[in-house]
Order: sequence, then structure tokens, then C-alpha cells
Amino acid sequence: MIPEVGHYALVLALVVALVQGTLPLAGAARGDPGLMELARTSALAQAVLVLVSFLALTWAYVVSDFSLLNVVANSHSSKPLLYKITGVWGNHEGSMLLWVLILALFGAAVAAFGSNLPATLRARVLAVQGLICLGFHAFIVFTSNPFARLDPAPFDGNDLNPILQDPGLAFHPPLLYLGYVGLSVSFSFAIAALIEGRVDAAWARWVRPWTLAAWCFLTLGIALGSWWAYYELGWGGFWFWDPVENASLMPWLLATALLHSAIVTEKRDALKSWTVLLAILAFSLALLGTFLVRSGVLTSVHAFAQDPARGLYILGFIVVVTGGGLTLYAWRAPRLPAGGLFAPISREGGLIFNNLLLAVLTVVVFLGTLYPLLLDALGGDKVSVGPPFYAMTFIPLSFPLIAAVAFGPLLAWKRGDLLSALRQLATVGAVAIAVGVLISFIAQRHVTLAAIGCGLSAWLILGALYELARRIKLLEIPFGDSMRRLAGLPRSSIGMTIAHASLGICMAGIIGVSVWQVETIAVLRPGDTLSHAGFEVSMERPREVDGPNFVAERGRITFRREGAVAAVLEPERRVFKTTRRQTTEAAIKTTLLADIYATLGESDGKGGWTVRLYYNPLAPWIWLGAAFCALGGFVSLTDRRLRIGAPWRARRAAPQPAE
Amino acid sequence: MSSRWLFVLPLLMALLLGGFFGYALLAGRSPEEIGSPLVGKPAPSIDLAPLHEGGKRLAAADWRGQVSVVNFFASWCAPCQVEHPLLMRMARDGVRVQGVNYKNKPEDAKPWLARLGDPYERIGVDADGKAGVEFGLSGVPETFVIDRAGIVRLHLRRPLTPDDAQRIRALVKELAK
Repeated sequence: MIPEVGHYALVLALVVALVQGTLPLAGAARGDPGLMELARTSALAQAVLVLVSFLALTWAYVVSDFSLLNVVANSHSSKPLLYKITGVWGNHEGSMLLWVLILALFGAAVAAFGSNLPATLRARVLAVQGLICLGFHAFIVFTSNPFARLDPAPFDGNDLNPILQDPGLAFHPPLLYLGYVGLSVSFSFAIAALIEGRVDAAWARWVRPWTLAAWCFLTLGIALGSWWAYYELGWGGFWFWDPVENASLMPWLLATALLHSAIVTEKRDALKSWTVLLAILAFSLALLGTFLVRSGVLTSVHAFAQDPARGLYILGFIVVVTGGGLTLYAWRAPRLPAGGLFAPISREGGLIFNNLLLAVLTVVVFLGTLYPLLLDALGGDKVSVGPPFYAMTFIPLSFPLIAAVAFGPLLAWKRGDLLSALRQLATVGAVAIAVGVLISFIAQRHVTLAAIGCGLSAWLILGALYELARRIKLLEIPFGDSMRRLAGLPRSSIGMTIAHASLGICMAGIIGVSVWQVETIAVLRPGDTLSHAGFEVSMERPREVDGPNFVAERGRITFRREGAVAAVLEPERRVFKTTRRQTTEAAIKTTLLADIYATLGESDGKGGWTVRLYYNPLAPWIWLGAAFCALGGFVSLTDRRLRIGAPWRARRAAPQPAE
Repeated sequence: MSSRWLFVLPLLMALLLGGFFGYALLAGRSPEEIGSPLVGKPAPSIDLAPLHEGGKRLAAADWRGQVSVVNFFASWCAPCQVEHPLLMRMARDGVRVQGVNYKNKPEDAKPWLARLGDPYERIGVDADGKAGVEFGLSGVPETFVIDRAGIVRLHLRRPLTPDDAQRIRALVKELAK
């Protein structure tokens, strides 16, 4: 019964989306307040209906209702409850339902918090959201119904792919989807603005918080995915330039560009058509990411749901969304009035430089991801574009971008003074160069990369802190006054400082692992010792341990330095009972300056086991940096100006009641 | 007005890409449709020694008069292990699956089968990979469906997915009519 309720709610949501996507548009065109108001009510109803549907599916998973095909295919009664729930989105149908749930919730959020938007703009934004919902609902209801029944019901299910039974991966899709789908709001705003024919500072101020929220979630989602790859795949790496990773990186790069270009539109009324274009493209790339993962056009480790018919539908949908958006853009954008003028060396110039490089980086990733496919379609060879390509293109191109980060905030709007900025950053620059030179003596591999990378990290972190210190006049005025200034700073600027400095932390981590990682792969017998990165490593005989739905072989590997125990790691090799699939569970001990990392492989049948040992200097900084980067975004989100578009609340005449 | 064209440019690029993706999807890039000259031709004649003591040889003559699913596998191949449960389920449902143990030592293959289960009706040992060459193998696992006349009807150059398994069942049912 409950699945039928869920199914019914989903079909009803489709009908509501149809209403939400059409009538308010007509209402906005005619100036009919009743029809425009319909956008709000239908957006809220939409969210409630999809939530009911999603909860119904979750319920079926929790109680292991094996009369549902989807539950049979992806769950098992012996699974821990957490993974029963996360199993809901560990498959194609469920993940699409999660996608549309987040989409509907974002629409409802715009309806609930958008009371300060002009009525026509709000109606149009919500209508575009409704149309996107409609496309996804039709996709789910007609091609991927999660509520399909199975008769007769089997006694137990097939179990979820064990690789997905992991906390990191369980929460990676929801975060990523929050990011992807958050960009749909920016897209809807862009389309609505094109229909209205008006892009102004106020519009940019309304778009920014949504883009920022999406960007924060996307940052967290990508970081979580990378962290998962690091500890679960057992190769000691954190980024493989896999097509699916790239599919999430591209929207992130464009969303970063959009964040910065919207600032120019808000503050200086410039870059309007570019900002609108970015908003359209960022969401298109988010859809493209979904398409690449779901269609199997590119084979990748993530492609756990592949079906050409579905791929074709999503492709058609992308063509309608992107093509429609860009047609509207080609037709309306040329009429947008040009904005304020500015010299090339200025804050705006710096932000354009940022956008230019981010766009180029996006193109690089795009080409690297699709080139094999292009070549294949044109009858060429099957090739795969690996890390070397990105090492030659992406990394050098990102250096000037990162070098410019410290300059931007020091340049004035309209006409900046590069010399004065250089003078101000002279100390920071000297320290950064010193760090780079020092590193070039220590590094044994990739000396240039290490020197430039570490120098830039120092430059970023110190530059961000210097900019903050200058704002609060640290050391120029009494310390107490500086602290008062700090408390009075707008949160968006504090958020910016955190995010920029965190980028430096993240970069230091990436350089640390790339340059100083020590890898040892060996067959180890109990009682043997081998030396690895300055440790003496020994292993006890692995034991059999029983998990809830797997059997594991657990090794116990001891790392000693000069006789003292530095770490005891217990990596596992798990075999899941129902599917007989194996997963490796790396064991990691982190000191926050480095990770000691071990995985257990197969036994050689002669009393030895294959082990992979890694020593990863600065590895934790990668994810700490990314998490702090997102935190900077969240701090900035709490800025009043972004939330309600007004810097200060008007003083109330009536006294506040004492609390 | 050349700047007008600038605004149309993103649309043109997007449409170009869209067309290209559609082509990629529709052009049947799925591996089973390309690069298998065997489909529609008689299955290569092979005669392989059994893996298990006292087992039957795997010979081309066995493919007359019945529908067979032939699966090339090896214990050293990780994707084989991934597709294995699907073969087990097929065998349990009465689909005749025959195995060719490709470039694999019997002492490695036997414990592997003992651990994961043995879905194969009979297993031929292809120690030097000659049968693999006959069948135009590009790697393991690969799966063939051979009809009652000994004609290859399907060749999958990839580990089976649940959808492939369904497809094979349907095909076997249809060919058995």
C-alpha cells in the first residue's frame, strides 16, 4: 500500500509540475497576480508530494519490502539499517528520485524565502524550476519507476554493491546532488531574467546566495568523493581524473566562476550577459554529469546504472534545457545594456582574469573527458586520456589563477593600482619565494612542481591573512580596536578570507602527496620486517572476523620508528556474503601532517600476504582544506546582505522584549 | 553585426555536442554490436580437456542440438568475480552455461570455483589461449550464446551486468523454442 501511495504522489507531482511550469509564466506575462501566486503554492505542493514519494521508497527499504523490484535489486534483509537507507539512492531509480526531491525542495525554498523578489521574477523562476521538475518526473515515471512491483516476491534481495556500503560513499551522492541541483536555481534565475529582459545589481544579489549554497555543497560532495576514493580503493591516490570525477569538477569550476562574476554584476553592474551565460552553462554541465554517469557513454568505475534508452532521454532533456536556455540567451542577451566601465587593472579586471582561467580550465577538463569519446566516434582508436594530460595542462594553467587570488582583493574597483598591491604583498611574496626555494632543496621528485606549488600555497594562505590583517588595521591601531573591526567586518569578506586561505591548505596537501608519497608493495610474512618510509614494518597473521553481512580477513600491521611503536594499523579484506564481492578497507593513521596508510591484499598461499603501504605527507590537508573552503562559503552565506539583500536591519521603534 | 553572432555561438556549440552525443549513443557503441565478426557465423570448432578430474571434454560437437552459453573466465580476472553471481543465478535457473578457463592454472581455478561456486555444466581448459584466439577474444570475461545449429548469436565483450543476464535468458528461451 505504501509504495502505491509513493507512486501516486510521484504522478501527482508530475501533474503539479506541469501546472507550475506553465500557468505562472502566462501570469507573469499578463500581470495576473492570481496565476503568479500559483507558482508559490504549486512549488510548495511539489515539494510535499515528492517528499511523500521519497519517504515511501525509504520505508520500503527500511522494512525490506521485497515485493518492490528496486528493493530486491539493491537491498538485503541482513544489511545494517544505515545502508538500507542509503541504498535508496545507491541505484539509478532511487538516485533520480533523490535528485528530483532536492530539486523540489530548492523550489520550495525559493518560494518560501523569496518574498522580497519582484512578483514576476519569482513566478518565472519558479516556473522554470517547475519545468525542470517536469522533465525529471517524466523521466522517472516513464523510464525508471522505483515503485515497480515484483510478483512473486523473493525471500531476500540481491544486496547493494558492497563498494557502496560505506559512510563516505553513502553521503557523497546527496551532497553532490545538493550542489548540482542548487545550480538549477541559478539557471532558473538566469532564464527568468532573460525573459524579463532585465539583469541588474539586485538580480545578482538574489542569485548569489543560491549559487554560493550550491557551490558549498558541491565542494563538500567532491571532497567526500575524493576522500572515499582515497581510503576505499586502496591505491593511496585521491584524484584519478576519472570521467565521473571530472563530471563533478566541471560544474564546480563554472560555479566558482559564476560566484565571482556575480560579484561584478552586483557591485558594478557589469559582465551581465557573461554571468547569465555562466549560470546556464554551469547547470548544463551538472546535467551533463548526470548524463555521463547514467548513460554509459563513457565507461567508468562509477557507471552502476547504464541504459542507452535512459541515456537518450537525459540527452534529449539536456538538449532542451541547454538548447532552450542558449536560444533564449542568443535572442535576449544582446539587448542587455552594457554595464560600468573599468580599467584592466582593477578588481573587476582581476575577477575577469579569474573567470577567464576558470573557463579555460573547464574547457581543458571537458576536452580531456570527451576526447576519447570524440576520437572513438570519428572512427579513430580507443584511447584514454590519463593524468599526464592533466598534469601538462590543468596544473600549469591553475598556477596563474592561484597566484592572482592574493592580488584580487587588494585591487580597487574601477581602477586598481598594481604597484601598490605589489608593494603591499612584497613581504608575503618574499616569504612565498623563500618557501619555494627551500622546498626545491628538499624535494627529490618533481622539483619544479613542488617548489612552485608550495610557494603558491604559502602565497595564498599568507596573502589571504594579510588582506584580512590590513582590513582590520592590525598593528596599525590598538589591538582591541582591531578586534572590534574584525567583529564588524561583513561575514562575506571573512568567508572569502577563509575560502582563499583554505585553497592554499588544500593545495599544499595535493603537492605533499604528489611529491613525497612513498609507496611500498610487498609480500609480507608474519614475523618478517621491512622498512618503509623510515619505519620498520611487521605484520601478525591475519585473522578471520565476522561483520554484519561480510566475512573479513583482518591484518595487524605495526609501524615502528627506532623501536618505538608509531602506529598499529588493521586493514581488512572483506568478502560480502550475498554477492561474494570483495572490498579492501584501508587502515589509515593520521597525524594531521601525514597519513600512514596500509591495505591488505591476497594471501600468496605460502604464508605471506600482499600488502600495500603508503606514507602520504600532508594528505589530510587536501580534505581539511576543501572542508574549510566550503565552511568559508557557509560563513559568507550568513551575511545579511546576501540573505535578504539589505545590509542593515532598520532600527525598530518599539523596544524589544527582554528574553 | 558580428557581436550578435557571439551570442549565438554557445548555442551552436551546444547543439553540435548534443548531436555528437546522440550519435555516440545511437551508433551502437555497445561492445556487443561492434568488433565481433563471429555473430551469425558458426562457432569455432574447439576440443578442450576438462578442468575437473573425470569431467567431460568441451568440444564443438556439444553445441549441436542445444542452446549453449559459453563463458570465458579466469581466476586472475577481477571482473570475472564481479559477474560470477549472475552466472550462478543463471545456472540455478536451468540455463546451460559452459566455461572456458582461459590462460589459467587449474590449481588456481579450482579453489576459485570452490570458493565462489561452480555455475558451469562443463569446463574446458584453454591453458595457452588458443580457443580464445579462435573465438576472437579481446580479454576475459567474454560471453557467447550459441544456438542449436551451432551459430553464434550473441557476443558480449564485457563483464555481464544484470541487464545482460536478463537479455541472455530471454535469448536462450527464444532460441530454444
